[in-house]
Amino acid sequence: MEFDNNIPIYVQVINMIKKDIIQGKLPMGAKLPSTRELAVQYHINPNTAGRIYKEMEMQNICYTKRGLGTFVTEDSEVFKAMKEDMAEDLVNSFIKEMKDLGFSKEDLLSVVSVEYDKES
Amino acid sequence: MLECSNLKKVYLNKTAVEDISLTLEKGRIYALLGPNGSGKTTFMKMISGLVKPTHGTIEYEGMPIGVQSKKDIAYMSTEPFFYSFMTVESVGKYYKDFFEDFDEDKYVKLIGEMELNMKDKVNKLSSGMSAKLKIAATMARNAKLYLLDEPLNGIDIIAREKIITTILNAASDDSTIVISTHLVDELEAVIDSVVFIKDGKSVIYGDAEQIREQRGKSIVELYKEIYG
Amino acid sequence: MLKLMKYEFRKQMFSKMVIAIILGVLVGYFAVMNIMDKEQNAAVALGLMFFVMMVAAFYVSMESLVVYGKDLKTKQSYMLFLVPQSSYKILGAKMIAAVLQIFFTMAIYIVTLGLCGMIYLMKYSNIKQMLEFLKEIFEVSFDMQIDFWLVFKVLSSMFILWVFIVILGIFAETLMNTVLTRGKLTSFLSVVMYIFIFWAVARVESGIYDGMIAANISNAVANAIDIIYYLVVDVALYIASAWLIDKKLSV
Repeated sequence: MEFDNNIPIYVQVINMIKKDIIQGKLPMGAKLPSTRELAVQYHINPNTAGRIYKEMEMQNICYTKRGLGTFVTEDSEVFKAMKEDMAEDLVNSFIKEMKDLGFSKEDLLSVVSVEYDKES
Repeated sequence: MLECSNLKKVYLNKTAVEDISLTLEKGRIYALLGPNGSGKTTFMKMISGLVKPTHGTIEYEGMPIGVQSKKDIAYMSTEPFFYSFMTVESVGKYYKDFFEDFDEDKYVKLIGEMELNMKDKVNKLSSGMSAKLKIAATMARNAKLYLLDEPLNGIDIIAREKIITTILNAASDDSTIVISTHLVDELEAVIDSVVFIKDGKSVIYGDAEQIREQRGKSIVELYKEIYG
Repeated sequence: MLKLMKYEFRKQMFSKMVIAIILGVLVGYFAVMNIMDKEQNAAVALGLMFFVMMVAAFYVSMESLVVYGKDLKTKQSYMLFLVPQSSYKILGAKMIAAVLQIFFTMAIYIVTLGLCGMIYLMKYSNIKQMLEFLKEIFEVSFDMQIDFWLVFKVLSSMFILWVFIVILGIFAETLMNTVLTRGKLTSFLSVVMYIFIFWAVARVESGIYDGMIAANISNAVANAIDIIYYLVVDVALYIASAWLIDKKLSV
């Protein structure tokens, strides 16, 4: 597993899990791996894995059933908000980079439109 | 679980460890960092009871290093150390004969995962294979404290992944793992505590995340700064 | 302790087998030459056997010390000293194993010589004569016992001395790798010390023996005390070595 040394590892893994949830690889209500399994899967420290679930619980992305494990939220509002959050983060950093390159709003939108059509 | 104070080891004409004082806590994975010759190996050997300190004390669960601590501590050296007349199978027998915490089934499983053969002679193994054998034998013990001296040395990338998985599987709330290495980036995500050793002294030690936050640097960057 | 001994045997089993095989081949050769009436060749075989025995005796003693040296100086030492057993048990197992090696080697020798004796007997007497010979042995058993006693005395004192040589060697090696550490003069010093201790122990022993003879103590008792004296020295060397390992050894 390759990690970016400048971003805390738990943040990076949370983002990966969020992506899996948004893409449906981890459907709503699905059981998440145990802390140890998560550690082994991502090759991260078990304590970091524990912290990941704690953070995600705080953000209501998942919840723990005593003795059963951790599960992905079934709340579609949370799901929607998470998706929007991630999109916002991506767009924001994209806008910032584009601004740095000197793109105006119109230029940016037209580039996006052209490239999006090429992709699909 | 383990406390060292003012540890010093002087050999005939050189000082291997100058002054190390630190406490290891239960349930953590430590990286013991430093270039070759900084005293990492001697430090680990003192904890495992192979080397007697010239000065200073080590307490494991409140006791000095001895027969009892050796039951709980699993040390793996960098170099191969099995008897040359042994096979992969008889290494397992040896461990079973002497270590109460040795789990035979786990050993068989690990040997399979490492793609070793029970009938292979120890002295016919390639360096990569004997490194895997060392890991399998050591990690098949359900030890309280694992001391792994450069476990990734001389091992290809595929096997490294397997070894890291094995180490993570052994990690639990009541086992502590110390990994000495000079390949920090491979282990940055795996460890939660670090000990930097320079010229036989412990220069920085503590929680990895805290150190990253305080210094605004990754452990890899800090490593380069300290030893560069 | 038994487990420790098991591995000590494993480390040295090979050489005992080699010795047994060489002697076995020589005995076979000796037998065949006797049957073919080639006395000269048989004599050569016998001479070779004695030569092999002498060299092997030396080698077996050395081997225990060489193995111990490896257990102290090479990476192999981790195998032994990571084991959660006290140094007294570790060294005790090693010494008992070394003594048993000597015992086994002597047993191999006795069997070899016994076989040669039997071959001679079979050659120079027919079955009837041999049975008579055996009868004779029973008849003069009283005289034979004295001879057996002498043989036993010679063998046991050889055994005791041999054991002492090896145990003193183990002590010298321990000393060399602990207190004296690994300096340039270390090996030389330990050889000097070995010779000195050997000489001193033998000096004291002959002093005691002479004293006992002068005090009109019977020969048997004097011999027994002699053996006890060496045993005490062996045990003292064992305790000193184990203590050194416990307190001072860094591998």
